[in-house]
Amino acid sequence: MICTFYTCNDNNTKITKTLLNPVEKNLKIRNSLDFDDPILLLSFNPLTQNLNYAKIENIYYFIKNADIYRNRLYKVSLHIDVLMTYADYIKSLTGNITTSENPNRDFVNTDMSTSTITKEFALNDIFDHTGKIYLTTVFNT
Amino acid sequence: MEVLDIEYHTFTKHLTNCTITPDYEYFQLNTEISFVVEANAGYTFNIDPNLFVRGRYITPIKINNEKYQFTFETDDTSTTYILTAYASIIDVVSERYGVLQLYKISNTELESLQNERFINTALQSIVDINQYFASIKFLFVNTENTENEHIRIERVICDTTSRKVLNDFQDYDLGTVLLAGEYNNELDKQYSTIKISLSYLGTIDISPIYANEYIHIIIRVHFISGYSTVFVYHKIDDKEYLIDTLNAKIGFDLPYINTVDGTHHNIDVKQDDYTQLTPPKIIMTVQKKSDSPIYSTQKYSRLGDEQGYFRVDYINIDNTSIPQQHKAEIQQLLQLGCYA
Repeated sequence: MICTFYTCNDNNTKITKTLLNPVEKNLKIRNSLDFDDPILLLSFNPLTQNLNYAKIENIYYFIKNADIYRNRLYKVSLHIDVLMTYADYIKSLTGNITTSENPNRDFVNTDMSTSTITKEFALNDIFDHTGKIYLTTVFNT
Repeated sequence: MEVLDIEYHTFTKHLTNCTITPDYEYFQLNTEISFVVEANAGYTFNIDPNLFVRGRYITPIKINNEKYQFTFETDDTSTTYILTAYASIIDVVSERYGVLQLYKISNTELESLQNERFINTALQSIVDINQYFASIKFLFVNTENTENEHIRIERVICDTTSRKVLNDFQDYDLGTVLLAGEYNNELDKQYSTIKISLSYLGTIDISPIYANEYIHIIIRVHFISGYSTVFVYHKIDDKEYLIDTLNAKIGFDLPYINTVDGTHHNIDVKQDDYTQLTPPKIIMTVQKKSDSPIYSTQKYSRLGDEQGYFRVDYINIDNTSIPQQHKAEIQQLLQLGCYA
C-alpha cells in the first residue's frame, strides 16, 4: 500500500489543497485499518521533515501527531480530510451561501465603520454666475 | 436689373426674414400695383411692414400676423418706393400671455429706459412706463434672445433697445451621471448618503438606493416668475423615471418704484441665499467597511463557483457512496466555513 506524504501549507478548511514535496513510502497493514483515523508506525517522524499531510489510496489525511513508539519507530496518527477526499463531489453541490468573499451584489452586508469616504460627481454648470436682468413689461398693441 | 427704355418708379426693398409676391423690381407709371409681404416660416411681423413714397406711408391690409397686402396705384412721375419689412422669430412669450413681453436687459439699457421713464404720448398726456413693469428679475441663468429691438411698453415703443427672450420657459440639462459607489454592490445602497448640490437652488437629498445607478437632472426655468423646477430622473437603459423634484427661485426681484400705485417693489432676497457659488455637483458619502473581505450574503449557487471563504446553510448530501459520518462532517465544515 503506497502512502504519499506531503507538505501542506493551506488552511485545514480549504477544500482543494495544494500539496508539495511528495515522499512515497510503501506500507504494510498490520492490523485492521481504521480508514478515518489510521495509525502508522514509521521509521521517521514526518512532522520533523515538514510533512504534515498524507494520501493513502484516494483518501487524504491530516497528520495529527507523531510520538516515539519504540526505539527508531514513530506512532503517527492521521485523520481523514473529508473536504479534500470528496472535493470534486462537494464542488458539484449547490447550496444557499450565507457568507462569502464574493457576495451576491444585491444581498450583501458586513461590519461598517463610522468613518466615511466622500465622492463627488460634477454636473454641467448651466448657471450664469454673473447673473442676468429680465424685465417683463405689459404692452398693448 | 434690366435696362428699361421707359420711365418707371424705383422700388427699394429692405426685407428681413420675409418675401414679397410678386417680387417686383420696379413699378410702371400709372399702374395698379398689388403685392403680398409674407414672413418666413417660424417668423412673424411684430411691427407692420411699411411702404414709403413721397414723404408718406402707404398702409397695408393686414391679412394676419404673418401676411400683409399692399395695393395702390402709381402716378405718372417717377419716384422711389421704399418697402421695409422686418419679421421676427415667433415670440412664445407674447403668444402665450398676450400682453406680456420679456426682455433680457443690461444694466445700461435699464438705465437708458429709466431716462425716458415719463413719456408724452398722443393718447395720454404723460405715461410713466414703470407702471407697466410686471417684474424685474435678477436670475443666475442665461438664455437665447433676439437681436436688439425697441422695447415696447403699453402702447409706447421706447427709444431704448434690448433683446427679447423668445420663450419664458427653458430647460437646462445638468447631465447624466453614474453614481458609482465604493463597493459596487448593495453596501453602497445601505451605507451611503447622496446629496445633489445645485448652487443657487439649494440641495436635494436622494435615496441611497440610487447608488450605482444613472441619474439625470434637468432644471426648467420660468423667466417671468424667476422660479425653477429641478427634475431628477432615474435612468434605466433608455427610460427615465422621475424620482424627485425641487421648486426654488433661481434669482431675486430687483427693486423699482411704481409711482401710480405707490408700490415700492423691494428686493426680496437675503444675501446669504446666494453665497453658495460652488458649481453644481452630486456628493456621495459612503461608510467605510471593516477590513474583513468576508460578507454576509444570500445566494444559491454551485460551491465550485465560489472563490475564497464561504459558508453554506444546511446542504443535503445524497451520495450513497459517502459514509454517513463523512456526510455529517462535510455538512458541519461547510456550515462553519470553508475556503474554495
